[in-house]
Amino acid sequence: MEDLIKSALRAAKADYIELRIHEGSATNINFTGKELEAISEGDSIGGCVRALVKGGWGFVAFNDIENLPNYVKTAVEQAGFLANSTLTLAPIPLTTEHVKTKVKIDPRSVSLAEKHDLCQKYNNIILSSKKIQTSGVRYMDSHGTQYFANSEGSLIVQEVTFCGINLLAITKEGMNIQRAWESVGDLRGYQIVQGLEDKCEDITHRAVDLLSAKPVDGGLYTVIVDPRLCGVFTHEAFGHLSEADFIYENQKLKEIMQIGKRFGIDELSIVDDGTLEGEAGYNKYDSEGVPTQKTYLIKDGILTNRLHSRETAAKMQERPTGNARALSYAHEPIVRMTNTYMEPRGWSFEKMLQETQEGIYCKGAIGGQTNNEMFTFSAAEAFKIRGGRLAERLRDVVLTGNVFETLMNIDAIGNNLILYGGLGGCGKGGQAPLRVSDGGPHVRIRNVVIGGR
Amino acid sequence: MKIEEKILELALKKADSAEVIYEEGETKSVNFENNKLKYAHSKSIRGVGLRIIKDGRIGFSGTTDLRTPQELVEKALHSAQFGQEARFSFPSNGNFPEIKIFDKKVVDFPMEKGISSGREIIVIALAAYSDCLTSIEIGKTLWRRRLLNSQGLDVSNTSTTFGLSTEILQVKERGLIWIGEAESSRKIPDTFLNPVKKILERMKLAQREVKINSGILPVIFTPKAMGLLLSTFEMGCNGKLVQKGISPFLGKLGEKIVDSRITLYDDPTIDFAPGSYPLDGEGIGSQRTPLFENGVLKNFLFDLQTAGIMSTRSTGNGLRGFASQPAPACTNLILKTGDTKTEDMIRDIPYGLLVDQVLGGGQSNTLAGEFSVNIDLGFLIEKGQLVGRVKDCMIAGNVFDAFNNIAAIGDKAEWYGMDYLPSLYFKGLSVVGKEE
Repeated sequence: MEDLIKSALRAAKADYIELRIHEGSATNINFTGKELEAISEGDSIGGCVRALVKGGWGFVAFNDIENLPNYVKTAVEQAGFLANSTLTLAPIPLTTEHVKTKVKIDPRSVSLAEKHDLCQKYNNIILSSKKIQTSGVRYMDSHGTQYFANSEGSLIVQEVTFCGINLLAITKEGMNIQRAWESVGDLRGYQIVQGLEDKCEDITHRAVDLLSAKPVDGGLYTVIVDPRLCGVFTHEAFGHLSEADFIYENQKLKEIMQIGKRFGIDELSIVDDGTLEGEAGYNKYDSEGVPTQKTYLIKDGILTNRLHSRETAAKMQERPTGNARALSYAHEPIVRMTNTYMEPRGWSFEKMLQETQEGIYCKGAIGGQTNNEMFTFSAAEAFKIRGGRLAERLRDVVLTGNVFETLMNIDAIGNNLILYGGLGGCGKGGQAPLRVSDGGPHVRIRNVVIGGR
Repeated sequence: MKIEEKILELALKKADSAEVIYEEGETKSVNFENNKLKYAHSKSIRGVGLRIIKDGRIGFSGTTDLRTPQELVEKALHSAQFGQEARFSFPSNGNFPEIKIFDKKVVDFPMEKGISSGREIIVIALAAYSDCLTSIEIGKTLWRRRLLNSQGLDVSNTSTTFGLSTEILQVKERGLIWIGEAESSRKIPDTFLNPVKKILERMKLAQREVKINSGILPVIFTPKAMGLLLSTFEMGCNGKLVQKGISPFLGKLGEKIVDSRITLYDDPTIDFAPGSYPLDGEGIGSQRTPLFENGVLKNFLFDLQTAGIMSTRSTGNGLRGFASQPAPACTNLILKTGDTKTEDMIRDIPYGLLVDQVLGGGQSNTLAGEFSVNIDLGFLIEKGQLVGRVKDCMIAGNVFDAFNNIAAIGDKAEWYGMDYLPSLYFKGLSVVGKEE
């Protein structure tokens, strides 16, 4: 493979050219209710070439690896077709490295029968409750070898092994249908999907309890979010806005997003860290061959850095951060987050709760979305807070905020940082789901708009 | 012998029956970002999926590596040891409806024309707002699919897709205006300028920001925003969710569920529509299926296996790619138009809202009909006039309540993705902002 790549690159005539080839295999198991909906193992091979000629990018993706030299030619031709300006890439070190996967239990060493039985065990636990209408257990593992080479002489081989599971319980009373789920997934190995019996019990109870929960009344609230929802909040409320591809060609946004500008209280620090081995968003090198790093996006309330590709870094005269990530060989690298979190501070959850007279405690996350100014994030579970204590259970809690105001409304940051991966991921520019993790401590936010009937 | 034929032959040495799907696609696109031509993409994707039945159980495997057909067969056989009991047989060759899904003009469309059209769109946008940044993607796909099985079915078809998406961003002192429009069809649109024209009309309205009072307000959803509300119906009519007992429509066939003006079809038989096909992913001919007629629930959508479990027939909705097994899904979703012009709906409202884009769809309990979304792009209506953009507020409700509380249905439908929908005017929905 490496010889094929090297000879293909030698023949290319472009200002810059890079090649990525991915060879992999995956296992999928899916129980829904009593039925095993899908169980399969499959292989894939594919690659892409990205060429830069006088400011124009040509990108070609393919499955027919043997035809590689032709695809290289096509990518250069396509780029030439657009060539009409200049574009520089921030310099990076030349690298030759083979990064091996570091899993405790390699999913490939576990038989399909054993994986099947584990899923069936979880499925049976969920279904054993009479009040459960249906269940869902979705298991996924994948192993991939990614070859990266560029015309500057780098050749990086990275192995990635992902493993995860989704557990879902659904209850129904007439038109009232409630769901509760749990998702784990990262690069640590098969052991993370083992021993989740308690989680199956948890979601089963939660789905039952949700049937009698009261829909939230819309309004302006003080909210406490748990570490998981804090992660989604951090990702949506600020993470996406710090991706430099959104600002690098926009003069007005550059003024608004000037380094040194205050975005929150002194205690607020937000970090993206691609070097956290085993976490869902870990890579030693990004899809442009740039080493990943720990980047403070906000430090002590002040905007300090942003996430870059080589192109955005050069254009903004900043340093590349190793955040150019491609979903697969069929996609070009774009600026993405890796593992993103809010740093913990001094508040215990108990004290935060005690000192909140009235509000809503939001736990877990269904999802989040942003248009880079306004954002939404939604809680899997919620409870009313009255007089510093948790009161009745609520449902249908979707929160909204504005990046230029809401971070300023954080007034208490907890002391317990937790990061979460999972089977889901982040979506941007048609590339989803990209494996990321996010997290934070418990956090209290004032004046949050919650929708409701 | 072609690879897909070879795989079928190899599979049948050990399996009782088998089906092979082979797909290959060529996609070409050009992208403009922030007013500049940036990328030329081309993708040559191909792959094969093998589904078998052995000892009454289903096995499956898919691959993009065509060098090792024997491995694919082994993996499918291996998975059949655990697989679900098959409640169907592969169909033999049928008579499929003639549906136009191929336009040679898409194949012949020169990407230079895409580039010149993109430049034209940017000139129009800049003439309206000199500080705006436009991003455009113009792309075309030529897709070939061959489906063959051990019952003798062997059908090949070629389809085309043409897509145009336009997004315009304007940065103001107090935030962003970001408006997008996307079109997709199996043929070339007559003009490439409709999306930019629509966006600029909205942009003009969005220049003025206004506050909105929280409360139960009359609300118009444009066809672009309507997809959010229809997703509950789409899920509820999915035969798989019915089979699992979690559809809100379970046991309600023949009952009136929504306003009698609501008639909704799933229709993959419309010439050149983005979700159309003559046969589904497992060889069943396509058909138009009424989901709701005059507010009454009529049908659910099925693939072969789910229909088998439910002792009914497939509706030809077994959708798939080569890498996965078929599952029931909607194709083109058609909501029958009403008789009210959107302008007249606006004129009818003393104080209310028009919603064009939402943020956070899919984060609510969609299956139960709940929605609660940020109004990404919405306009306050005062005394029958659109007066300006509202921000930082949420709209929430229950789809079933809303669809029994309809003031009027638009007289004109528009395509958004695979949905062909008119605007809808609801008598009252809950809007929450920062003002009491």
